[in-house]
Amino acid sequence: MEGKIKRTLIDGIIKNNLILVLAIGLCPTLAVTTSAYNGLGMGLAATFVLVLSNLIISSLRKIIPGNLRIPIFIIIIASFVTMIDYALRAYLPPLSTQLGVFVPLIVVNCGILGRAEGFAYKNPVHLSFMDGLGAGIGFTLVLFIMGTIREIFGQGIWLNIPGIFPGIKVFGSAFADYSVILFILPPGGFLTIALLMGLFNYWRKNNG
Amino acid sequence: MLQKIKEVSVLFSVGIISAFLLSFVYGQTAPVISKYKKESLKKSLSEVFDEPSVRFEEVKSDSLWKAFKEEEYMGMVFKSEEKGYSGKIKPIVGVDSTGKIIKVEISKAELSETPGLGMKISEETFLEQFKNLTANEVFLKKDKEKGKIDAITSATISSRAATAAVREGLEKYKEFLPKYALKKFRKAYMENLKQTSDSLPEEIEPKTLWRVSNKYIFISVIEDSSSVFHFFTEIENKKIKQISIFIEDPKTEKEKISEDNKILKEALKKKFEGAVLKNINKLEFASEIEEIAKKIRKEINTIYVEQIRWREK
Repeated sequence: MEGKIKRTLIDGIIKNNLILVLAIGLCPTLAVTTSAYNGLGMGLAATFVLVLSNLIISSLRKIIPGNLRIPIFIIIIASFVTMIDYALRAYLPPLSTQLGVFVPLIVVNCGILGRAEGFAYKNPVHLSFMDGLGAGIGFTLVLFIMGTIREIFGQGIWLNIPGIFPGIKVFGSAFADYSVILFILPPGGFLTIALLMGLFNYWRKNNG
Repeated sequence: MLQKIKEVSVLFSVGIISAFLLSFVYGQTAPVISKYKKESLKKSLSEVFDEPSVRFEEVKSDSLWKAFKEEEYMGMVFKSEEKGYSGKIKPIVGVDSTGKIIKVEISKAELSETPGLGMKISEETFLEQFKNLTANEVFLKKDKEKGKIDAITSATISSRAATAAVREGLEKYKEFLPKYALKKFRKAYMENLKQTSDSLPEEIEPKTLWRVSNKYIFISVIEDSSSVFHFFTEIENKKIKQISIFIEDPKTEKEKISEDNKILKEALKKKFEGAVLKNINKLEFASEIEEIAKKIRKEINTIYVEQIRWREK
């Protein structure tokens, strides 16, 4: 029993990693990961929604009729996202303005709908909770790493939090004039995600 | 059939419960959100005006505010917008009473320019270039000779859009500046004077007294109970040649252009123009212009005696 819970969590992070393995939820991933802080914020918000939507959907799985499940999933997820959006705007306004349109976009993040449909609808509550948590952690980690790579190469700084923390200068100030701007632009997002996917799958192949 | 009813009722109750939860969260957070918005707006307004204990009054919703210190109208703050490289650029600009920029701020959080490039328009090094500029100087150096703004390397579009947003706001709202109408009146008068005389007016007393050949011109300000009168008087050969009057409403600092004031102006002009200064005290006024006309006469007399008579040959 205990082993199964642990396995579900780790599977969510590695075997079923939303971005690197399942390749779903890529749109917000590419868009927000221009800095590590943005990636982290988006990841945590998505994790929160994943856990809650998995919880609710799994506990309601016996009464949700099969042919109406998709609209019901969407209502539940949309409600959570809207609530998170309000909460962020009220209590964490800098993060909210920074994430801009991406928080509402979690509604159509297929990663969340994917976990609801693929796992929570078929599994008991405690496992669904762990799956949501695992998938969220995996998503957040990838977003944070992508943001880190793109921010360091593109701007030469790391962990800049607008208005709060200026960021650590990784390459010194001279780098600012010669930073690889490509990494901040959309093509840089594709390159980073492709490199990460390749590395991750190479590692998984060799380590079971 | 039963199956159908069951399905519909599940969907219905999920919808209802979600709606209730949502409205609850909205009710809890809405006051906090609007309070935060108000606070951050107030903060950014006083930041760009850069002067302690100033009170702001909204003139146009979310785009124009007048700044008052005690009861004095000090200047304005406006928010304008222009399409940038990606998304809108919305600078907040503080302007002093003469139309000079005090400070420009562009909120990083509202900006969606390219990080590391266009984003730099929200940084101090770019924004401090705007300090003390007037509308006709707010151009990129590479776009116009008079321009005083250096564009950011490889972010010309963002720099140009930010500059244009500031400039267009200045143009659009300049009529809301305190003393704008008066400034325009003075400027138009001096321009006209330059064009109609053979030589340039010589400034004898700074900003109050001028001479062109043997003509003396001075500006005075007097008040009565409800208006402020600004008037240029031209004196030539010991006679009042011309008098031009601007009647200002002290509350709005705009010109009073009602029919009554037009008649008043005409009556005053008729009385004073052509009058010989030696005989000015003998003038008689109709009762409706008496109060102000006596004040104007006193002012002209004083300035003539103190400043002009001994200069005349």
